[in-house]
Amino acid sequence: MLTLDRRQVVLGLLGVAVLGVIWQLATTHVTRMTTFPNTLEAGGAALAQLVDPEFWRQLRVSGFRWACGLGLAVGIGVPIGLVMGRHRRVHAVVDPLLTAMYPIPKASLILLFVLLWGAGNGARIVAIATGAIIPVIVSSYHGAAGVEERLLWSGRSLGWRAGRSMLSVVFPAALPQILNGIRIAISISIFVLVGSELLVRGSGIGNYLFNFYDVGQNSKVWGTALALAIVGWLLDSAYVAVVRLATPWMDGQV
Amino acid sequence: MRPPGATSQPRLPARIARGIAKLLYPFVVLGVAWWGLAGWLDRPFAVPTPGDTWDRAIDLWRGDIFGMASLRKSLLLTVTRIALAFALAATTGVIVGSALGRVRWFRQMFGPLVVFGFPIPKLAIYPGIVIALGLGMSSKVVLGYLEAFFPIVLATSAATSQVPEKLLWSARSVGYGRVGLVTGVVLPAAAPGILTGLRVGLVGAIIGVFLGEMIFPSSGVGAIMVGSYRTIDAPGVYVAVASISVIGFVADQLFLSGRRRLLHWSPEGA
Repeated sequence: MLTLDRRQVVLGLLGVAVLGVIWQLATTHVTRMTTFPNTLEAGGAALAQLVDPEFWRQLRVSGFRWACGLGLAVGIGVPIGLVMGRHRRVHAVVDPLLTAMYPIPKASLILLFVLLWGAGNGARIVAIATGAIIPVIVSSYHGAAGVEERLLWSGRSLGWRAGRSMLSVVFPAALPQILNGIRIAISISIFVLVGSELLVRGSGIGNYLFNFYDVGQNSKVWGTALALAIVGWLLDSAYVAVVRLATPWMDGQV
Repeated sequence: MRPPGATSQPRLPARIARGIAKLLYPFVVLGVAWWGLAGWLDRPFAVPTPGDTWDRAIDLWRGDIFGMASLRKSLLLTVTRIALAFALAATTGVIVGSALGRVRWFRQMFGPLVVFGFPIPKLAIYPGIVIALGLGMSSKVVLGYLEAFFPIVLATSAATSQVPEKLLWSARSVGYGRVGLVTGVVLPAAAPGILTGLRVGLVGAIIGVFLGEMIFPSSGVGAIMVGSYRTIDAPGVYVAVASISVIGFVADQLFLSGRRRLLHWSPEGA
């Protein structure tokens, strides 16, 4: 799957170097030096954040909200999507609502939820779940709609009722698509998490990042942002690796 | 432009009526739910009634409440930013994506960077971008651009890399050059996948620009939303959410109808 030949490694490093040079040129030619740390400074600041316990403490606060929101989205979204995939009427009712909700910036809804419930974890978790649920529903729907009829027939021939078929046939058959949807949901939920913490301050990693902006510590702003980027990327890679390990029978990519 | 075989469609007026009903249905559901919730909760500072919100929308449209720019001007500004961000992301994204999909050394050089850039939360970099570019137009457009660019690149590179070689051979055999192959064969054959990426990118541009306007509120509909929130003006917050939702819905629907027109020949276009 992932074959690292020498050409790939050399060209990959060259690509990173080209990006570094572009960044460096940007610091000297496009913006003022003082506002934009150069490549080495930015990398150093990111490393400094990654070993700072406060960064991880704030990340844990945010991580709790994120996990609750994502869990809620998966727990509600998967059943809705599976039922939509097997029942045309349910699909006809729910699908236009999803289409209408799709282009709304979910992170902005945090303000509505805060007006309703106050600026605690609850409002943030609901905002994250609202953002993450759409890709979960859509992918579960596509997975369930594409289940081979033959599989359902064999379930029926064993005398299974609709609920049992859903659990033992439709869900496993749709699993690859669902896992793919959850991957998209992860990146959207991180976006909503950071957005909601930047919009309604209080605690968490977004607030931590914004504090550096407020006091004008520019290299720390960039350092925290890059450290967060690395964490986001690690999370995505870890998800892909775990899914590959846990479902070795699945072909195709996540 | 339907193939002659497809005559089982209902007549045109019935189809239009059904289309309009399908388009309006979610708004009727949301409106009724909102109206019911506002009446049931009876907390106008948390959930304003649709009537109050409509009144506030008219005030805001005329402008100058608490020193904010009018909704009319803000809408124009926000839409301009979204259009700029999306246009830039679509052009560069399709070019870079095609190069990633068709050119081996380019893919090996920049593929890993794009894969790295895709899942990172671009919002986290935004304060840094604002420090560098200021509060005005450019930082908001850049955030919208970043949100739109990566989905477009990934979809385009996936779609262009899957163009059947046979199509390329036959085009070459009738004398297509390098440029002709790209514009005449690769891009049209990859169009369904590219357009799917562009739709995700369009929504990304809307979300990026709007969030940018909210996080550092200086102008635009996002600034109206945050300005209203800070003055505990719930109807104003709802006006802003409704405005950006309408922008998003209209843009998405226009895109989908354009996509259907472009792809009438392919199974994905239906």
